[in-house]
Amino acid sequence: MTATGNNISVGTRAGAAAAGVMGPPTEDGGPEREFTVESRTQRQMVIRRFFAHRLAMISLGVLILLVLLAFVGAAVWKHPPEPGTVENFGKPTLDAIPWLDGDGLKFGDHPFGQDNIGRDYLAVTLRAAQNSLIIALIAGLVATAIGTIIGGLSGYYRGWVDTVFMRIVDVLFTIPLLLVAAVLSRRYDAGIITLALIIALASWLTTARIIRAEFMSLREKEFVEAARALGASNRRIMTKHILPNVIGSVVVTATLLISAAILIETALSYLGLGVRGSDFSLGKLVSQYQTAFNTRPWLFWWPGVYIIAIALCINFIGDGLRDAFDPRQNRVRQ
Amino acid sequence: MTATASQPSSAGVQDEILLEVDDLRVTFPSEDGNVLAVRGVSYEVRRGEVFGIVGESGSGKSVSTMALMGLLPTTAKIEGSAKYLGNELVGQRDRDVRKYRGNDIAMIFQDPMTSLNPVYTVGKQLAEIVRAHHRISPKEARIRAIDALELVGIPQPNLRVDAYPHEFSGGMRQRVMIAMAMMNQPDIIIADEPTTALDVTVQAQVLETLMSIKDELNAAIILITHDLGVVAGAAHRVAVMYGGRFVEQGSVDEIFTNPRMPYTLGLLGAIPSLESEGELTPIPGTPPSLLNPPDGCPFAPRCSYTIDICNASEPDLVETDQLGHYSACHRWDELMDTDATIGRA
Amino acid sequence: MFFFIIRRLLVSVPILLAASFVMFGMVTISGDPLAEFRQSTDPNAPQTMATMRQVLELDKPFAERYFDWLGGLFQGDFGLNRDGQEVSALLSNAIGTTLRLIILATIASILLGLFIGIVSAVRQYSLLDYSSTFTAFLFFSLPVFWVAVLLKEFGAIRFNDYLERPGLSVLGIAILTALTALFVAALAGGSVQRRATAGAIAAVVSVVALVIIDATDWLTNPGLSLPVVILLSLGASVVAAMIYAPLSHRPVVISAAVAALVGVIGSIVADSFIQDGGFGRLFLLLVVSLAVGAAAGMLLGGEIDRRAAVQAGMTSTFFVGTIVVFDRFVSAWSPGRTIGTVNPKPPNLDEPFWETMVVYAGHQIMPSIALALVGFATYMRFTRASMLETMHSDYVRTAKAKGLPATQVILRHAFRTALIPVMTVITISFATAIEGAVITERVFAWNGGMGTLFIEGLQEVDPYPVMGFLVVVSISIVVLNAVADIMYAYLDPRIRR
Repeated sequence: MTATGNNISVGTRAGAAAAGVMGPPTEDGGPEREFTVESRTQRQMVIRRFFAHRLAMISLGVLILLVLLAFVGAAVWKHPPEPGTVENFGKPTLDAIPWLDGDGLKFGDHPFGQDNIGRDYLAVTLRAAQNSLIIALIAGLVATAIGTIIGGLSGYYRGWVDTVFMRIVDVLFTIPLLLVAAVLSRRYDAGIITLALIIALASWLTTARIIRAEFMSLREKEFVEAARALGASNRRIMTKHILPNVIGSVVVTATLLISAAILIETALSYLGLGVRGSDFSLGKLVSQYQTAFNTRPWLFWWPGVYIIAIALCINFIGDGLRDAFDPRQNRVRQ
Repeated sequence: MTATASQPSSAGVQDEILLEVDDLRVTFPSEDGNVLAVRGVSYEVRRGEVFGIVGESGSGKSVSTMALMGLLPTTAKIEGSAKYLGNELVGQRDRDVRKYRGNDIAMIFQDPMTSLNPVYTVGKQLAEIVRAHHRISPKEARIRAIDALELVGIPQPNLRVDAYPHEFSGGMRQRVMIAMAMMNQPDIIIADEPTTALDVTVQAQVLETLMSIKDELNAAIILITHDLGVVAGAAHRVAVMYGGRFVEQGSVDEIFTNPRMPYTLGLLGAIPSLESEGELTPIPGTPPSLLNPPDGCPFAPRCSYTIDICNASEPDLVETDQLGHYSACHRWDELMDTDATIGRA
Repeated sequence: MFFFIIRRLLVSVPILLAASFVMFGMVTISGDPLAEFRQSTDPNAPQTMATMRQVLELDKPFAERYFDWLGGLFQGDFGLNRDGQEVSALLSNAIGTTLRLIILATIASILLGLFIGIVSAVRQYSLLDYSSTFTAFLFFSLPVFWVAVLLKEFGAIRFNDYLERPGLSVLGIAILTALTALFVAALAGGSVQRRATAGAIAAVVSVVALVIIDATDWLTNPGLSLPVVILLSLGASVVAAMIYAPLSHRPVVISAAVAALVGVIGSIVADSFIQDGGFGRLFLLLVVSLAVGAAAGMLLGGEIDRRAAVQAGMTSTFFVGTIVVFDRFVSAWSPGRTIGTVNPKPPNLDEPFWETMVVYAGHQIMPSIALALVGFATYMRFTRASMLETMHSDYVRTAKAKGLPATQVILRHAFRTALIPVMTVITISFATAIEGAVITERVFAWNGGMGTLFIEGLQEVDPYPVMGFLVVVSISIVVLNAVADIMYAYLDPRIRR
């Protein structure tokens, strides 16, 4: 059916693996002119498609900026997030829309304003962003790891391993994520790392189900059978043959988990179960200052916009990755 | 592999031209550039005729027929002309050509497993094609569906009409597809690899059914396949397609006994047969990319007869010494003395 | 099918039991209910602690407490909270409030999500597709309570301010018109000319409508007049007919239009009956109007199109019913601060039905929107992906090759099968909605809801209200899961048995 797809040879990993074990490679190096499009490896195709995804690339750029701002920017910024004197009611001095009053772009002394005890709000926001990013990254990665391992083992071994793991997942699915996070964070109210681990523990279930389904279908494929026939160990089959084929799903769910973790942190903070003590997080700032909405709106807006910018960028990157790994959804190839 | 339904050379072919395709071109824009899937294809099909189009996958044979059915994605650029009984099909508004689709020109697809909608009963899907073109009651459409199922050889059609596609075997499903194609008594049936997805044992039966339906309806069939055996048994005329063009065209006897194009020679060399004791000879290399093809003959890189001119210019499809036998090869006249075995270098 | 449902529900029982055990354990270890009294210097503290021990049965071992609680559950006893109140009584008040919020938000997000999802798949790579995709991603990235705070400020407080002195500026009309025209043009698809025409028509209609709205002071005294009701109903009947058959099938169109007109006339005849309101009466009206639609189809459909005509007639009268109800509803709207920002008042039973409904809706609308955003984004993305998959499938190509009109190909073939995987999302998005509801209720200060029960219970280490919340939530998740599976089986004959 495909007139276009067939000619551009896409060596999928599955195909390459199959050809490698099952018999001689299919391409016998016949005479070639500039006729045939150079064949690309799966990885090259994925990278190429990802870089061609404009929105994902813009998002990647913005995300890098946001991360640099949070970590490097905070280090070089003149104010620490410490109390000081409140100037001009703490109003922001940032003037990002120069054409309104015509006096040009300027940052001023406190671009994001100050809070009621005179802390520079830019410094506070950046400090909070650091914590939120660390929490999201750790939570996302740990949840992905747990989900992949449990999903992979269930899908590969099936039988009682699968039954046990999946019943656990079923049971946990009926328990609201907020409860798990809430109970754990009440009991272990330590630093941001603990909070990240708590969020991870509450959010790996979907990943486990997705990865399990992929392992289940891949373990039936010819190349796995071939590897098994050649005496490869289970461990080797899982890590060398199946895992490379599910890497797309793993990467995509990881990005989604990271962006979800940011929002979970926000929700927990709102319910008073997030970062404790004097430390900041973006969620904590927004929930703390929601009542300041009418009096000092900048205290509410800046951290909120920062959260949305991070989550939006990560979501778009995830979408770009999904398209790169699985272009089926996007391209019309009849 | 082999079809038992054999057709005498031109038996049953009438003069009336049903379909006239002239210089049909299909281009797909892609991220790497334009893919020239079909690069100027012309033919006509007469009532009662079976016209075979043979080629490897990716040669553009499916695309060329889907273009005239209006089944290509909207991104595809279709040029040239295709006339059904004088009515232009290319470049018209969808609602203007829809009335021919499924009514006068019907299509049978390669994979009967996926070509039927899994959530509706077979009877519903058969009735739908009638009711799309004719104002008849559901009851009457159902009766017609049962008749059609019976005609294509489905046992107990009055019960099977209420079954879902997944309750049929592959061969039976393809029969359902044939029944669907004949529901409106079309003039032309386009069969796109109708037997490829089936077991060898049922291939012949399905092909035979298709041919008997053709006779029943006095229709024409465009038979698209990569299997020369299928064409040899069923078609009157054959076109060999390569790199988006016809490279050889003629009556089935001519093509099989006096091929005038090295590619056809190669295809014939790759058919197993009981008489030949020699080895099968695969054609070396892979089909060309249709992405920005260069000037020369598309087959030149794989051809053992290549000379300088083959790489410099693409040969036109010209009539050979035999009437109605066309070849697109710079050296067709030199192939005259060779017989098929020479291709097996 | 019956046994399928029974088996499906039986499987969930052990899961529910295990989940309840885990949750009971988690709630128990989450903290010490007596912590605040231990440090207390109040001479009454030991006394209070003793009472609390008694009420919460703290002296019993964990397992015994769990089984006592479980046993009580089967008799409808959800235990006591730390003030000695019956949790079941608290719950029965809370469930109504919260489920109303969640169900309304879920239904709205499903309807809108499916619609936009289909359109953006059909018009892939169009402006509409890009903007709805961007919107969906934006909604995915919004913290629920942040949105809720914004909605409370702009959707409720400032909108109420606006309604006290409403009016449309020229700029406002221009912006609304431009948006409408863009949306309609994107929806129309096809050639540039076709889209431009559709957009221009929409722009004219929009300007006229907005000018009339402004001139008649509609926003302070809303309501549809009879001509508008008739016009809308006829338009809706044509849409209803288009769903089931091409417009060239006249009997279908005629049945739908006649059904719509009969519906409008019926609503005039039954005027006082509708005005009195009441859910029972509304349901009766729904049944009657569906019957009218079906009858119109039966009588006018003829032998050939009867089935499609009946379906179109019923859909048509359903639309008309919706229009009539909407008319009553907005007519009952009186100027005032109707969009609620705080705890909903208990409905005043002396007020007329429609006025009560307006009060309800005013409180419901902003929290529902806050909650529906994520669900809408999820359904939209899922429907779009699923539709793209089926639209490129072989059987949709077969449907096109049959010569079916595009609407039929999309609705009957692509959408019907695309719906199957979308069913599975319902459960997941329902679970998300519950968590969202906990937060939304708090932002809008709905004190009687389940969210409050849960959060306050957690903060005060009060196990039984928390458990009550969890039982309701997990049972509804399990039931919904089963419903999704059953729908799945209904939609997909391959797994039906």
